[in-house]
Amino acid sequence: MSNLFIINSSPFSRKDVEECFTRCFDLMAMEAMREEERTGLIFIQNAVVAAKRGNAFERELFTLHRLNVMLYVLKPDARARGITSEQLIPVFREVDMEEFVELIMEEFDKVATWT
Amino acid sequence: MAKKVLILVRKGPYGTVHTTDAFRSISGLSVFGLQVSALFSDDGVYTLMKNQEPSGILMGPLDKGLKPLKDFGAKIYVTRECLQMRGISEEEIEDVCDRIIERSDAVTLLRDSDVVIPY
Repeated sequence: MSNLFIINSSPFSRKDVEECFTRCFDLMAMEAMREEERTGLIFIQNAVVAAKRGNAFERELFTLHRLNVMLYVLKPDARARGITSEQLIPVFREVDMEEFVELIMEEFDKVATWT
Repeated sequence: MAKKVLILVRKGPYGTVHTTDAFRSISGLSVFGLQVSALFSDDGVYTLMKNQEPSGILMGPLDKGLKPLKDFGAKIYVTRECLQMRGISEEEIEDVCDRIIERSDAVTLLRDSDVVIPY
């Protein structure tokens, strides 16, 4: 089973983004025992700011990456906010709209939005 | 003496009308002879980012609206702490700020303003 979490709020304005990170840590701790499980996080809209290098949540994101959580950021939303590929934390994969749809429809079994 | 108005921009630039409304207030109030300042803090600091390309989300770039605000005589301030927390360096923001200020200066700015309009 695989889970994709969609995050659309800035982690600096909404506490629920941190809550999502915590739930992911819990989930990964459980899934460590079942290797077929997989979790992904995609940051869209105002949440893309979490992917910028040097921000206060960078350490949590590196930890999630080490726990094999896949981290994605929606490219058009990042570009809109002046965040270039070079400015991204290197654990992120940039996806365009088509790839975002593929993640939802093909790559992950379940999708949940944190709003 | 002209009244001092402070426009406080705390929200991210896209996804809501808050920032565009703040820009309208700054330009509108400036032409009426008021002494207008804008303080970008919290997620409002992203408004100052260089190289905004919002064509992919079908919006116009807000960073291009910053220099015209200066032409209206508005003073622009940004809080250092908010930039640092977000990993934004001085080189990554548009060169429109009169000053990058500390939290204590922001408090002084708020206290010394006759009117504060938050967005």
